[in-house]
Amino acid sequence: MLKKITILFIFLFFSGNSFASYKKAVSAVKQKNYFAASVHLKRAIGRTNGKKIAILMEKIVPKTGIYAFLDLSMKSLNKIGSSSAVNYVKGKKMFFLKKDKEAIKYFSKVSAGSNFYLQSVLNLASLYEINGQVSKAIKLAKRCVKLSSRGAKVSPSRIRRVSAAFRAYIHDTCEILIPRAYYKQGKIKKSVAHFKRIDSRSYQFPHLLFDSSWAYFRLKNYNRAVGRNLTFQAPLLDNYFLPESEFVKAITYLRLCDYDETIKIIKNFDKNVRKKLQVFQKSFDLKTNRSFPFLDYMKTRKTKKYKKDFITKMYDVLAMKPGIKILEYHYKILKREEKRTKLSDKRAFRSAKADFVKFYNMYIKVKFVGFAKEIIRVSNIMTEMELDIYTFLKNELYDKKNKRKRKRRTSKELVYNYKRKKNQHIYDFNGEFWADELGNYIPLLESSCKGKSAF
Amino acid sequence: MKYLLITLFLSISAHSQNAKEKVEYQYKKEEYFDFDALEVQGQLLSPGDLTSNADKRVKFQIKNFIRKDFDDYIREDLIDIH
Repeated sequence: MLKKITILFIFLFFSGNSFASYKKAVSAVKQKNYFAASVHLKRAIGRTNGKKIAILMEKIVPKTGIYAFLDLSMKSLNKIGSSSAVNYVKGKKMFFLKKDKEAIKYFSKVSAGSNFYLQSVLNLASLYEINGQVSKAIKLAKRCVKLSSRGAKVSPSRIRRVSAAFRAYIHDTCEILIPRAYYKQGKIKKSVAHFKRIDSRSYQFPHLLFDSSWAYFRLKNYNRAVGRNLTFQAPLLDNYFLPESEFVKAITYLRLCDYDETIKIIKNFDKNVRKKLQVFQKSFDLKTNRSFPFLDYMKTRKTKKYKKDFITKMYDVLAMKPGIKILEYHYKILKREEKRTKLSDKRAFRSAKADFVKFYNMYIKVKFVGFAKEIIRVSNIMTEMELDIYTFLKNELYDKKNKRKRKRRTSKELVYNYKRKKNQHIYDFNGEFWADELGNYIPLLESSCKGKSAF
Repeated sequence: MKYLLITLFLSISAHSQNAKEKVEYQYKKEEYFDFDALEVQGQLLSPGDLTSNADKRVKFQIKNFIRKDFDDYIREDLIDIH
Protein backbone atom coordinates (compact mmCIF):
# COMPACT_ATOMS: atom_id res chain seq x y z
CA MET A 1 0.00 0.00 0.00
CA LEU A 2 2.82 2.33 0.96
CA LYS A 3 4.56 1.50 -2.34
CA LYS A 4 1.48 2.41 -4.37
CA ILE A 5 1.13 5.72 -2.59
CA THR A 6 4.82 6.53 -3.22
CA ILE A 7 4.52 5.71 -6.96
CA LEU A 8 1.38 7.81 -7.23
CA PHE A 9 3.10 10.67 -5.44
CA ILE A 10 6.14 10.49 -7.77
CA PHE A 11 3.85 10.35 -10.83
CA LEU A 12 1.84 13.33 -9.63
CA PHE A 13 5.01 15.26 -8.83
CA PHE A 14 6.51 14.73 -12.26
CA SER A 15 3.32 15.19 -14.23
CA GLY A 16 2.61 18.34 -12.25
CA ASN A 17 6.15 19.52 -12.92
CA SER A 18 5.89 18.86 -16.67
CA PHE A 19 2.56 20.61 -16.83
CA ALA A 20 4.19 23.50 -14.99
CA SER A 21 6.92 23.48 -17.67
CA TYR A 22 4.32 23.78 -20.40
CA LYS A 23 2.60 26.60 -18.51
CA LYS A 24 5.92 28.37 -18.10
CA ALA A 25 6.55 27.99 -21.84
CA VAL A 26 3.16 29.54 -22.64
CA SER A 27 3.81 32.41 -20.27
CA ALA A 28 7.32 33.00 -21.71
CA VAL A 29 5.90 33.11 -25.25
CA LYS A 30 3.35 35.70 -24.11
CA GLN A 31 6.22 37.81 -22.78
CA LYS A 32 8.11 37.25 -26.06
CA ASN A 33 10.87 35.34 -24.30
CA TYR A 34 11.14 32.66 -26.96
CA PHE A 35 14.52 31.22 -26.01
CA ALA A 36 13.49 30.56 -22.40
CA ALA A 37 10.17 29.19 -23.71
CA SER A 38 12.01 26.67 -25.88
CA VAL A 39 13.74 25.18 -22.81
CA HIS A 40 10.49 24.93 -20.83
CA LEU A 41 8.75 23.38 -23.82
CA LYS A 42 11.43 20.73 -24.29
CA ARG A 43 10.96 19.72 -20.64
CA ALA A 44 7.25 19.24 -21.24
CA ILE A 45 7.70 16.81 -24.14
CA GLY A 46 6.28 13.37 -23.44
CA ARG A 47 4.34 14.59 -20.44
CA THR A 48 2.03 17.12 -22.00
CA ASN A 49 -0.28 16.69 -24.96
CA GLY A 50 1.89 16.52 -28.12
CA LYS A 51 -0.52 18.66 -30.17
CA LYS A 52 -0.29 21.51 -27.66
CA ILE A 53 3.50 21.39 -27.85
CA ALA A 54 3.42 21.39 -31.65
CA ILE A 55 1.19 24.49 -31.70
CA LEU A 56 3.56 26.34 -29.40
CA MET A 57 6.55 25.27 -31.47
CA GLU A 58 5.06 26.98 -34.51
CA LYS A 59 5.38 30.25 -32.59
CA ILE A 60 8.81 29.62 -31.08
CA VAL A 61 10.87 28.19 -33.97
CA PRO A 62 10.64 31.26 -36.28
CA LYS A 63 12.16 33.36 -33.48
CA THR A 64 14.76 31.02 -32.01
CA GLY A 65 15.62 29.16 -35.18
CA ILE A 66 15.72 25.40 -35.39
CA TYR A 67 18.87 25.24 -33.22
CA ALA A 68 16.86 25.27 -30.00
CA PHE A 69 15.31 21.92 -30.92
CA LEU A 70 18.07 20.17 -32.86
CA ASP A 71 19.49 18.55 -29.74
CA LEU A 72 16.24 16.63 -29.17
CA SER A 73 16.36 12.94 -30.03
CA MET A 74 14.07 11.61 -32.75
CA LYS A 75 12.27 9.66 -30.05
CA SER A 76 11.42 12.91 -28.28
CA LEU A 77 10.54 14.70 -31.50
CA ASN A 78 8.18 11.89 -32.43
CA LYS A 79 6.29 12.45 -29.21
CA ILE A 80 5.33 15.93 -30.43
CA GLY A 81 2.28 16.15 -32.67
CA SER A 82 2.75 16.73 -36.38
CA SER A 83 3.10 20.33 -37.49
CA SER A 84 5.09 22.17 -40.14
CA ALA A 85 7.66 23.48 -37.66
CA VAL A 86 8.15 20.01 -36.16
CA ASN A 87 8.48 18.36 -39.57
CA TYR A 88 10.94 21.01 -40.69
CA VAL A 89 13.10 20.51 -37.59
CA LYS A 90 12.96 16.73 -38.10
CA GLY A 91 13.87 17.09 -41.78
CA LYS A 92 16.80 19.35 -41.01
CA LYS A 93 18.03 17.01 -38.28
CA MET A 94 17.95 14.08 -40.71
CA PHE A 95 19.74 16.20 -43.33
CA PHE A 96 22.57 17.02 -40.91
CA LEU A 97 22.82 13.31 -40.11
CA LYS A 98 23.01 12.65 -43.89
CA LYS A 99 19.87 10.51 -43.81
CA ASP A 100 18.52 12.01 -47.02
CA LYS A 101 15.57 9.68 -47.55
CA GLU A 102 14.25 10.36 -44.06
CA ALA A 103 14.80 14.08 -44.58
CA ILE A 104 12.80 14.00 -47.82
CA LYS A 105 9.96 12.26 -45.97
CA TYR A 106 9.70 15.03 -43.37
CA PHE A 107 10.18 17.98 -45.76
CA SER A 108 7.33 16.60 -47.88
CA LYS A 109 5.02 16.90 -44.88
CA VAL A 110 5.51 20.67 -44.44
CA SER A 111 2.25 22.32 -45.43
CA ALA A 112 2.01 24.90 -48.20
CA GLY A 113 0.70 27.71 -45.99
CA SER A 114 3.43 27.52 -43.39
CA ASN A 115 6.44 29.74 -42.73
CA PHE A 116 8.74 26.86 -43.55
CA TYR A 117 7.29 25.86 -46.90
CA LEU A 118 9.74 27.65 -49.21
CA GLN A 119 12.76 26.33 -47.35
CA SER A 120 11.26 22.87 -47.49
CA VAL A 121 10.74 23.02 -51.25
CA LEU A 122 14.36 24.08 -51.75
CA ASN A 123 15.54 21.30 -49.44
CA LEU A 124 13.38 18.78 -51.28
CA ALA A 125 14.53 19.84 -54.75
CA SER A 126 18.18 19.76 -53.69
CA LEU A 127 17.92 16.38 -52.00
CA TYR A 128 16.18 14.88 -55.04
CA GLU A 129 19.02 16.19 -57.21
CA ILE A 130 21.70 14.76 -54.92
CA ASN A 131 19.95 11.40 -54.79
CA GLY A 132 19.66 11.06 -58.57
CA GLN A 133 16.00 12.02 -59.08
CA VAL A 134 17.11 14.88 -61.31
CA SER A 135 13.95 15.44 -63.37
CA LYS A 136 11.90 15.64 -60.19
CA ALA A 137 14.45 18.07 -58.77
CA ILE A 138 14.23 20.36 -61.82
CA LYS A 139 10.44 20.41 -61.64
CA LEU A 140 10.50 21.33 -57.95
CA ALA A 141 13.26 23.91 -58.42
CA LYS A 142 11.22 25.66 -61.12
CA ARG A 143 8.25 25.71 -58.76
CA CYS A 144 10.47 27.07 -56.00
CA VAL A 145 11.66 29.92 -58.26
CA LYS A 146 8.05 30.87 -58.94
CA LEU A 147 7.00 30.66 -55.31
CA SER A 148 9.96 32.58 -53.98
CA SER A 149 9.51 35.57 -56.22
CA ARG A 150 8.83 38.84 -54.40
CA GLY A 151 6.17 38.91 -51.73
CA ALA A 152 6.50 35.28 -50.69
CA LYS A 153 6.02 34.42 -47.02
CA VAL A 154 9.10 33.00 -45.34
CA SER A 155 10.54 32.53 -41.89
CA PRO A 156 12.09 34.48 -40.15
CA SER A 157 9.19 36.83 -40.66
CA ARG A 158 9.68 39.40 -37.91
CA ILE A 159 12.08 41.79 -39.62
CA ARG A 160 11.07 42.56 -43.17
CA ARG A 161 14.61 43.26 -44.35
CA VAL A 162 15.98 39.89 -43.12
CA SER A 163 12.94 38.13 -44.44
CA ALA A 164 13.35 39.69 -47.88
CA ALA A 165 17.04 38.77 -48.03
CA PHE A 166 16.27 35.22 -46.97
CA ARG A 167 13.56 34.91 -49.61
CA ALA A 168 15.91 36.26 -52.27
CA TYR A 169 18.57 33.77 -51.23
CA ILE A 170 16.12 30.86 -51.52
CA HIS A 171 15.04 32.18 -54.93
CA ASP A 172 18.61 32.43 -56.21
CA THR A 173 19.58 29.02 -54.83
CA CYS A 174 16.57 27.40 -56.49
CA GLU A 175 17.43 29.21 -59.72
CA ILE A 176 21.01 27.92 -59.87
CA LEU A 177 19.84 24.41 -59.01
CA ILE A 178 18.23 24.09 -62.47
CA PRO A 179 21.43 24.45 -64.59
CA ARG A 180 23.31 22.37 -62.05
CA ALA A 181 20.79 19.57 -62.49
CA TYR A 182 21.02 19.77 -66.29
CA TYR A 183 24.80 19.62 -65.97
CA LYS A 184 24.47 16.43 -63.93
CA GLN A 185 22.24 14.98 -66.64
CA GLY A 186 24.94 15.78 -69.22
CA LYS A 187 22.78 18.40 -70.96
CA ILE A 188 25.58 20.93 -70.96
CA LYS A 189 24.23 23.29 -73.63
CA LYS A 190 20.92 23.51 -71.78
CA SER A 191 22.83 24.07 -68.58
CA VAL A 192 24.77 26.99 -70.10
CA ALA A 193 21.53 28.48 -71.44
CA HIS A 194 20.08 28.47 -67.91
CA PHE A 195 23.27 29.86 -66.37
CA LYS A 196 23.00 32.77 -68.81
CA ARG A 197 19.49 33.57 -67.61
CA ILE A 198 20.66 34.19 -64.03
CA ASP A 199 21.03 37.84 -63.07
CA SER A 200 24.47 39.08 -62.05
CA ARG A 201 22.93 40.52 -58.87
CA SER A 202 22.10 37.02 -57.70
CA TYR A 203 23.40 35.84 -54.32
CA GLN A 204 24.77 32.88 -56.22
CA PHE A 205 26.71 35.01 -58.72
CA PRO A 206 30.17 33.75 -57.61
CA HIS A 207 28.95 30.18 -58.03
CA LEU A 208 27.35 31.11 -61.31
CA LEU A 209 30.83 32.10 -62.56
CA PHE A 210 32.49 29.00 -61.24
CA ASP A 211 29.81 26.44 -62.19
CA SER A 212 29.41 27.82 -65.69
CA SER A 213 33.19 27.74 -66.18
CA TRP A 214 32.97 23.94 -65.87
CA ALA A 215 30.13 23.88 -68.37
CA TYR A 216 32.19 25.94 -70.83
CA PHE A 217 35.15 23.68 -70.27
CA ARG A 218 33.04 20.69 -71.22
CA LEU A 219 31.88 22.50 -74.33
CA LYS A 220 35.57 23.07 -75.17
CA ASN A 221 35.07 26.80 -74.95
CA TYR A 222 38.34 27.22 -73.09
CA ASN A 223 38.59 30.97 -73.39
CA ARG A 224 35.39 31.39 -71.51
CA ALA A 225 36.25 28.70 -68.99
CA VAL A 226 39.35 30.67 -67.96
CA GLY A 227 37.69 34.03 -68.35
CA ARG A 228 34.89 33.17 -65.96
CA ASN A 229 37.33 32.27 -63.20
CA LEU A 230 39.52 35.29 -63.85
CA THR A 231 36.60 37.38 -62.68
CA PHE A 232 37.36 36.30 -59.11
CA GLN A 233 40.36 38.63 -59.21
CA ALA A 234 38.04 41.61 -59.42
CA PRO A 235 37.98 43.68 -56.19
CA LEU A 236 34.25 43.26 -55.96
CA LEU A 237 34.60 39.54 -55.49
CA ASP A 238 37.37 39.78 -52.94
CA ASN A 239 35.20 38.20 -50.27
CA TYR A 240 34.61 35.04 -52.23
CA PHE A 241 36.93 32.12 -52.20
CA LEU A 242 36.53 29.02 -54.31
CA PRO A 243 39.75 26.97 -54.34
CA GLU A 244 38.55 24.88 -57.26
CA SER A 245 38.35 27.91 -59.54
CA GLU A 246 42.16 27.90 -59.64
CA PHE A 247 42.03 24.25 -60.60
CA VAL A 248 39.67 24.97 -63.51
CA LYS A 249 42.15 27.55 -64.80
CA ALA A 250 45.05 25.14 -64.44
CA ILE A 251 43.29 22.25 -66.14
CA THR A 252 42.23 24.53 -69.02
CA TYR A 253 45.78 25.71 -69.63
CA LEU A 254 46.90 22.11 -69.46
CA ARG A 255 44.44 21.17 -72.14
CA LEU A 256 45.80 24.00 -74.24
CA CYS A 257 49.33 22.67 -73.62
CA ASP A 258 50.36 25.89 -71.97
CA TYR A 259 52.48 24.15 -69.36
CA ASP A 260 54.26 27.27 -68.14
CA GLU A 261 51.00 28.94 -67.27
CA THR A 262 49.69 25.79 -65.62
CA ILE A 263 52.77 25.51 -63.42
CA LYS A 264 52.51 29.20 -62.57
CA ILE A 265 48.95 28.77 -61.31
CA ILE A 266 49.90 25.72 -59.28
CA LYS A 267 52.90 27.45 -57.69
CA ASN A 268 50.82 30.50 -56.92
CA PHE A 269 48.16 28.38 -55.24
CA ASP A 270 50.79 26.59 -53.20
CA LYS A 271 52.38 29.83 -52.06
CA ASN A 272 49.28 31.88 -51.34
CA VAL A 273 46.84 29.27 -50.09
CA ARG A 274 48.29 25.89 -49.18
CA LYS A 275 51.13 27.17 -47.01
CA LYS A 276 48.89 29.53 -45.08
CA LEU A 277 46.45 26.75 -44.38
CA GLN A 278 48.65 25.21 -41.71
CA VAL A 279 48.58 28.42 -39.64
CA PHE A 280 44.84 28.56 -40.14
CA GLN A 281 44.36 24.97 -38.95
CA LYS A 282 46.54 25.51 -35.88
CA SER A 283 44.86 28.78 -34.90
CA PHE A 284 41.45 27.22 -34.52
CA ASP A 285 42.20 23.65 -33.53
CA LEU A 286 40.56 22.53 -36.74
CA LYS A 287 41.94 19.03 -36.41
CA THR A 288 40.33 18.41 -33.01
CA ASN A 289 36.75 18.32 -31.81
CA ARG A 290 37.25 21.23 -29.45
CA SER A 291 35.07 24.22 -30.09
CA PHE A 292 36.55 27.67 -30.54
CA PRO A 293 34.84 30.91 -29.42
CA PHE A 294 34.14 32.05 -32.97
CA LEU A 295 31.12 34.06 -31.87
CA ASP A 296 33.33 36.36 -29.76
CA TYR A 297 35.66 36.88 -32.69
CA MET A 298 32.79 37.62 -35.05
CA LYS A 299 31.47 40.24 -32.61
CA THR A 300 34.82 42.02 -32.24
CA ARG A 301 35.80 41.90 -35.91
CA LYS A 302 33.37 44.72 -36.66
CA THR A 303 34.81 47.08 -34.06
CA LYS A 304 38.48 46.07 -33.86
CA LYS A 305 40.71 46.47 -36.86
CA TYR A 306 42.44 43.18 -37.54
CA LYS A 307 45.42 42.75 -39.78
CA LYS A 308 44.40 41.69 -43.28
CA ASP A 309 45.62 38.14 -43.60
CA PHE A 310 44.39 34.74 -44.68
CA ILE A 311 42.42 34.19 -41.46
CA THR A 312 40.54 37.50 -41.64
CA LYS A 313 39.87 36.80 -45.30
CA MET A 314 38.29 33.49 -44.36
CA TYR A 315 36.08 35.30 -41.85
CA ASP A 316 35.07 37.78 -44.52
CA VAL A 317 34.21 34.92 -46.85
CA LEU A 318 32.12 33.31 -44.15
CA ALA A 319 30.37 36.54 -43.16
CA MET A 320 28.93 36.70 -46.68
CA LYS A 321 27.18 33.37 -46.19
CA PRO A 322 23.44 33.66 -45.53
CA GLY A 323 23.77 31.02 -42.82
CA ILE A 324 25.76 33.47 -40.72
CA LYS A 325 23.34 36.29 -41.42
CA ILE A 326 20.43 34.19 -40.18
CA LEU A 327 22.38 33.19 -37.10
CA GLU A 328 23.14 36.84 -36.41
CA TYR A 329 19.47 37.67 -36.76
CA HIS A 330 18.57 35.07 -34.11
CA TYR A 331 21.46 36.24 -31.93
CA LYS A 332 20.00 39.75 -31.93
CA ILE A 333 16.67 38.35 -30.70
CA LEU A 334 18.55 36.44 -28.02
CA LYS A 335 20.36 39.57 -26.80
CA ARG A 336 17.11 41.51 -26.70
CA GLU A 337 15.48 38.78 -24.65
CA GLU A 338 18.37 38.65 -22.22
CA LYS A 339 17.51 42.11 -20.94
CA ARG A 340 13.87 41.41 -20.23
CA THR A 341 14.08 37.84 -18.95
CA LYS A 342 12.46 37.41 -15.54
CA LEU A 343 14.34 35.91 -12.62
CA SER A 344 12.22 32.75 -12.82
CA ASP A 345 13.22 32.25 -16.46
CA LYS A 346 16.92 33.12 -16.06
CA ARG A 347 18.07 29.52 -15.71
CA ALA A 348 16.14 28.37 -18.76
CA PHE A 349 17.42 31.32 -20.76
CA ARG A 350 21.05 30.58 -19.83
CA SER A 351 20.61 27.01 -21.00
CA ALA A 352 19.10 28.16 -24.33
CA LYS A 353 21.88 30.69 -24.81
CA ALA A 354 24.57 28.07 -24.16
CA ASP A 355 22.98 25.78 -26.78
CA PHE A 356 22.79 28.60 -29.30
CA VAL A 357 26.42 29.66 -28.79
CA LYS A 358 27.52 26.03 -29.08
CA PHE A 359 25.67 25.68 -32.39
CA TYR A 360 27.07 28.97 -33.69
CA ASN A 361 30.66 27.99 -32.88
CA MET A 362 30.25 24.53 -34.32
CA TYR A 363 28.67 25.93 -37.47
CA ILE A 364 31.68 28.16 -38.14
CA LYS A 365 34.06 25.35 -37.30
CA VAL A 366 32.30 23.02 -39.74
CA LYS A 367 32.57 25.70 -42.42
CA PHE A 368 36.27 26.28 -41.71
CA VAL A 369 37.01 22.57 -41.74
CA GLY A 370 35.19 22.46 -45.08
CA PHE A 371 37.46 25.23 -46.43
CA ALA A 372 40.56 23.42 -45.18
CA LYS A 373 39.50 20.08 -46.68
CA GLU A 374 38.69 21.68 -50.00
CA ILE A 375 42.06 23.45 -50.17
CA ILE A 376 43.89 20.19 -49.39
CA ARG A 377 41.84 18.29 -52.00
CA VAL A 378 42.50 20.84 -54.75
CA SER A 379 46.14 21.17 -53.76
CA ASN A 380 46.70 17.40 -53.92
CA ILE A 381 45.24 17.19 -57.43
CA MET A 382 47.35 20.14 -58.55
CA THR A 383 50.51 18.50 -57.17
CA GLU A 384 49.75 15.37 -59.18
CA MET A 385 49.20 17.55 -62.22
CA GLU A 386 52.49 19.36 -61.68
CA LEU A 387 54.44 16.12 -61.37
CA ASP A 388 52.94 14.80 -64.56
CA ILE A 389 53.76 17.94 -66.45
CA TYR A 390 57.40 17.58 -65.41
CA THR A 391 57.40 13.90 -66.35
CA PHE A 392 55.82 14.73 -69.69
CA LEU A 393 58.32 17.48 -70.41
CA LYS A 394 61.20 15.20 -69.43
CA ASN A 395 59.98 12.49 -71.79
CA GLU A 396 59.40 14.98 -74.55
CA LEU A 397 62.95 16.23 -74.14
CA TYR A 398 64.33 12.70 -74.40
CA ASP A 399 62.16 12.00 -77.45
CA LYS A 400 63.46 15.10 -79.20
CA LYS A 401 67.01 14.09 -78.43
CA ASN A 402 66.49 10.54 -79.71
CA LYS A 403 64.89 11.77 -82.89
CA ARG A 404 67.86 14.02 -83.50
CA LYS A 405 70.24 11.14 -82.92
CA ARG A 406 68.39 8.93 -85.40
CA LYS A 407 68.40 11.70 -87.96
CA ARG A 408 72.10 12.15 -87.41
CA ARG A 409 72.86 8.48 -87.98
CA THR A 410 71.10 8.45 -91.33
CA SER A 411 71.96 11.79 -92.85
CA LYS A 412 75.29 12.32 -91.08
CA GLU A 413 74.48 16.02 -90.99
CA LEU A 414 75.82 18.09 -88.14
CA VAL A 415 73.51 20.65 -86.68
CA TYR A 416 75.57 21.53 -83.62
CA ASN A 417 77.46 24.74 -83.48
CA TYR A 418 80.95 23.59 -82.69
CA LYS A 419 83.89 23.68 -85.03
CA ARG A 420 85.54 20.55 -86.47
CA LYS A 421 88.05 19.71 -89.12
CA LYS A 422 87.35 17.58 -92.17
CA ASN A 423 89.19 14.57 -90.81
CA GLN A 424 87.31 14.66 -87.54
CA HIS A 425 84.16 12.47 -87.29
CA ILE A 426 81.12 12.02 -85.08
CA TYR A 427 80.43 8.64 -83.56
CA ASP A 428 78.05 7.45 -80.88
CA PHE A 429 79.95 7.04 -77.67
CA ASN A 430 79.29 3.67 -76.11
CA GLY A 431 82.03 3.61 -73.51
CA GLU A 432 84.88 2.49 -75.82
CA PHE A 433 88.09 4.48 -76.15
CA TRP A 434 90.65 4.21 -78.94
CA ALA A 435 94.26 4.66 -77.90
CA ASP A 436 95.17 6.90 -80.83
CA GLU A 437 92.13 9.20 -80.16
CA LEU A 438 92.64 9.76 -76.47
CA GLY A 439 92.55 13.40 -75.59
CA ASN A 440 90.59 14.28 -78.70
CA TYR A 441 87.11 13.33 -77.51
CA ILE A 442 84.68 16.18 -76.98
CA PRO A 443 81.06 15.82 -75.71
CA LEU A 444 78.15 17.20 -77.65
CA LEU A 445 76.58 19.98 -75.56
CA GLU A 446 73.18 21.37 -76.23
CA SER A 447 72.09 24.84 -75.22
CA SER A 448 68.55 25.43 -73.96
CA CYS A 449 68.81 29.15 -74.61
CA LYS A 450 66.23 30.59 -76.88
CA GLY A 451 67.37 33.88 -78.27
CA LYS A 452 70.02 35.72 -76.30
CA SER A 453 71.78 34.11 -73.38
CA ALA A 454 71.86 35.99 -70.10
CA PHE A 455 75.64 35.64 -69.89
CA MET B 1 18.18 -23.48 4.97
CA LYS B 2 18.31 -26.76 3.02
CA TYR B 3 18.86 -24.86 -0.26
CA LEU B 4 21.51 -22.72 1.34
CA LEU B 5 23.50 -25.82 2.38
CA ILE B 6 23.20 -27.35 -1.12
CA THR B 7 24.46 -24.15 -2.75
CA LEU B 8 27.37 -23.95 -0.28
CA PHE B 9 28.30 -27.56 -0.99
CA LEU B 10 28.17 -27.07 -4.78
CA SER B 11 30.34 -23.98 -4.69
CA ILE B 12 33.01 -25.71 -2.52
CA SER B 13 33.13 -28.75 -4.81
CA ALA B 14 33.43 -26.56 -7.90
CA HIS B 15 36.30 -24.64 -6.33
CA SER B 16 38.24 -27.84 -5.46
CA GLN B 17 37.71 -29.16 -9.00
CA ASN B 18 39.14 -25.95 -10.48
CA ALA B 19 42.21 -26.23 -8.28
CA LYS B 20 42.90 -29.75 -9.54
CA GLU B 21 42.63 -28.98 -13.24
CA LYS B 22 45.43 -26.55 -13.79
CA VAL B 23 45.48 -25.50 -17.40
CA GLU B 24 48.86 -24.77 -18.86
CA TYR B 25 49.15 -22.61 -21.91
CA GLN B 26 52.09 -23.13 -24.17
CA TYR B 27 53.08 -20.84 -26.94
CA LYS B 28 54.91 -21.82 -30.06
CA LYS B 29 58.61 -21.43 -29.55
CA GLU B 30 59.34 -20.46 -33.12
CA GLU B 31 57.18 -19.36 -35.97
CA TYR B 32 58.19 -18.76 -39.57
CA PHE B 33 56.59 -16.46 -42.02
CA ASP B 34 57.01 -17.25 -45.66
CA PHE B 35 57.08 -13.78 -47.12
CA ASP B 36 57.50 -15.09 -50.64
CA ALA B 37 54.16 -16.82 -50.38
CA LEU B 38 52.47 -13.56 -49.34
CA GLU B 39 52.54 -12.13 -52.81
CA VAL B 40 50.02 -9.40 -53.44
CA GLN B 41 48.37 -9.34 -56.82
CA GLY B 42 48.25 -5.91 -58.41
CA GLN B 43 49.85 -3.32 -60.60
CA LEU B 44 53.05 -1.66 -59.52
CA LEU B 45 52.09 1.92 -58.87
CA SER B 46 53.81 4.67 -56.97
CA PRO B 47 53.29 8.38 -56.57
CA GLY B 48 56.63 8.87 -58.28
CA ASP B 49 58.92 11.84 -58.51
CA LEU B 50 61.09 13.39 -61.12
CA THR B 51 63.71 10.64 -60.91
CA SER B 52 61.27 7.75 -61.11
CA ASN B 53 60.54 5.76 -64.21
CA ALA B 54 57.65 7.55 -65.85
CA ASP B 55 56.11 4.35 -67.22
CA LYS B 56 55.28 3.15 -63.72
CA ARG B 57 53.32 6.26 -62.78
CA VAL B 58 49.58 6.52 -63.21
CA LYS B 59 49.39 9.28 -65.77
CA PHE B 60 47.30 12.33 -64.98
CA GLN B 61 44.07 11.99 -66.91
CA ILE B 62 42.18 15.24 -67.33
CA LYS B 63 38.87 13.44 -67.87
CA ASN B 64 39.06 11.87 -64.40
CA PHE B 65 39.08 15.31 -62.81
CA ILE B 66 36.32 16.94 -64.78
CA ARG B 67 33.44 17.79 -62.48
CA LYS B 68 30.46 15.51 -62.99
CA ASP B 69 28.01 17.31 -60.72
CA PHE B 70 27.73 20.06 -58.13
CA ASP B 71 26.27 17.90 -55.36
CA ASP B 72 28.84 18.97 -52.77
CA TYR B 73 28.03 22.64 -53.32
CA ILE B 74 24.29 21.92 -53.31
CA ARG B 75 24.66 20.25 -49.93
CA GLU B 76 26.67 23.21 -48.66
CA ASP B 77 23.92 25.59 -49.77
CA LEU B 78 21.44 23.60 -47.70
CA ILE B 79 23.63 23.93 -44.60
CA ASP B 80 23.14 27.70 -44.92
CA ILE B 81 19.36 27.35 -44.98
CA HIS B 82 18.28 26.76 -41.41
